[in-house]
Amino acid sequence: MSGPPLLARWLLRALLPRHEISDALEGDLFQGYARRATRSLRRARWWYWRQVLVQPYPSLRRVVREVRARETTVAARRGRGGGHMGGIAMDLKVAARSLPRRPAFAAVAVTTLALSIGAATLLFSVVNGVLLSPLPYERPDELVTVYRTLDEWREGDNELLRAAWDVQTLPLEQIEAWRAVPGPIKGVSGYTYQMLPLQAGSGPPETVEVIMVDRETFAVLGVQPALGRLPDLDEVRTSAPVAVLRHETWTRRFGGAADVVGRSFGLGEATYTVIGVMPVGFFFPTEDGGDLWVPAREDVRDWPSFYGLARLAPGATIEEATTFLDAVSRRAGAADPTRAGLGARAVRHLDNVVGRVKGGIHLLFGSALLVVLVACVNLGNLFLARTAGRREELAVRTSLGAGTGSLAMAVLAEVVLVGSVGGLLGIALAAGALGPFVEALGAAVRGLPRQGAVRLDTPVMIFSLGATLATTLVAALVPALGAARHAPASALANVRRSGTENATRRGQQVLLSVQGALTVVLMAAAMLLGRSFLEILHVDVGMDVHRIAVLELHADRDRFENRAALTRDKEAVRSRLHRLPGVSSWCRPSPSPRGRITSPPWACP
Amino acid sequence: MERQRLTDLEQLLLLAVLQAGDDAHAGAVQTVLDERGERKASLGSLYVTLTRLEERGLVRSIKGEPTAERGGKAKRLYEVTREGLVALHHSRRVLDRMWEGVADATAEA
Repeated sequence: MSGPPLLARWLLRALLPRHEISDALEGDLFQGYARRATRSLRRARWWYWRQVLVQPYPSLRRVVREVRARETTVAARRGRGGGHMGGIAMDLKVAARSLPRRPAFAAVAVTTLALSIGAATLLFSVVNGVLLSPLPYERPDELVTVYRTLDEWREGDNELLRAAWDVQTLPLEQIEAWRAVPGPIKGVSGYTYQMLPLQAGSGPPETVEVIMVDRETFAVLGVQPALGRLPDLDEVRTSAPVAVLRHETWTRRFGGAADVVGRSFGLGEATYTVIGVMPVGFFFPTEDGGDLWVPAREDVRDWPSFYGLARLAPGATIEEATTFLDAVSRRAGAADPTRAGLGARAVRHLDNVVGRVKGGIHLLFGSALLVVLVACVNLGNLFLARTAGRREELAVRTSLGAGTGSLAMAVLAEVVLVGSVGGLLGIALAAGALGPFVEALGAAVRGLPRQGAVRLDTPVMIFSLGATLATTLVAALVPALGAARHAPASALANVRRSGTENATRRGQQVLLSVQGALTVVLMAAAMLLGRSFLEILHVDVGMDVHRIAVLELHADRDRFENRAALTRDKEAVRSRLHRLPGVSSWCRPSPSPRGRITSPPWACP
Repeated sequence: MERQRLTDLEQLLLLAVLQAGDDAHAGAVQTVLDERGERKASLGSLYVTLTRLEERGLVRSIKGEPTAERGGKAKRLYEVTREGLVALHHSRRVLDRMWEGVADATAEA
């Protein structure tokens, strides 16, 4: 036997509220149809359709609402014997059942929260990764970067030189001079870097950032390799061709091989041997974070191109360190006129790492907070409207003896449910979008430091969950208080006449105004943020970079039997470049002009 | 205990529940109401009234087992409570009192 007409059954289900009573009614109709169908199928169908059309749906819905409210209140009262938990659990259960019946509201509320929490989580993960998470060194707060200062540049007329007077690099002999005098620093060292072609195995050559270290560089940082060892004093002194790989270099160029220690590879024009691999996350505050570390080459030791790196003695401040280092430099200047006007300045190492983007990162943090704030207001507004829609049910609850607390709980339960689902969804969204987001940010803000540290770790999770909790609680506050203030008699009397009470409407108006104001603030902040990033993008690099193209040559050493052949080839490139119609002049600086200018201008041959 | 007043439909409904006996679900109640009470009512309105009566403690209901002949839906079985019986008897006494002396004068033609 076939059942009742499908369309009629579907219509019946669509019109009936979801409840046991409706199920029973549907069953009664099914049974009535089955009985009639044994006599005449046509009549049975006709009867079923008529039944579907004559049911008093509005009254049924009202009754079901009242029954639900009563069940909740009774259960909440029963639950109160063993504490509030039973009541809260029941409120949550009711919320879980009632929210899907308002799919549009539930979807808007959950989406609002998910998007806000997702966006705030993304923004905060950048703030946390770049600014807040500790640097991958021992006691990173004690680390300072030391620059040389040039009085001559500060006092000169050249604006570009004046701007860079206190961020100058220095030669290793200066570091030796500091090391010789006891003071408020525990250790001082230096490093410089160079872009060199690396050739490992049969892979193509690749230009990598080679950090050249002095003795004590790793000791000052307080780090140990994950694999192998660090260069010893003799190796540094003799500039031995040994290298420590960054974790990423090890996996990218050496396939993460466990037996990498002892392997040889080409670097520039020399052959180096791997002696160690640094742990995951270890990097240097350079453009690319360093691809590998080698002892400073003999020929670069005298270059004034080293960054000073020092560890403060316990209890010493940055000011004390600056005073000390500056005094030592100036004492040498007093004895030797060629060194007159040279001073020193120490800055917190983290500031050196994130210095340029710090303002932007702070703005990013402000934006994250604003997004959360706007989410609070949006969600609060949504729930205020929702509570106005639930007045009838709340009035029934009140008339059945529900106290102000349990009314507020009934409202709170829905908010908590939306909060949990929306918050988790937001975190999931952030997790999915993190990779592309960091990539896009890295592309927009050249040299955004510590991109690898941007991830959804514990502090970010704490922020996201905290933001969700705060949003939920703030959003629940106004409607829950409103619900608790309901006067039962007047509420029931007014329910069908006025959908929204004056107080609720006032509350909504206030929230709408706040929402509008916050949106303006958020948009202004977002524009400022964008503007600030643009400023970083277009920062004055001290030369006219328009119409300059950089050509990096990666020489495959196997193709050139000796240095002379390579030089010949370079000459060939040079003469061909001269003949290109668009090229007016060219030069071959080394390293290539990227990053901040700290050295005197390059000379073009 | 305060006696509860019953409307005409409520009285008929309580009586129909009593008549339907052990299988007093809305469908059976509707049949009794139709055949003996000369009252046609939709199942929906029966559920509305029965639910109101239940709120007032005059009937109670339990959920039966879902069966295939009902399309997998459970029955809701109703039973008149003691308060329901008291209210029914009271309504009947009121009606009886009202009829006393009137019956002869208005004997059915």
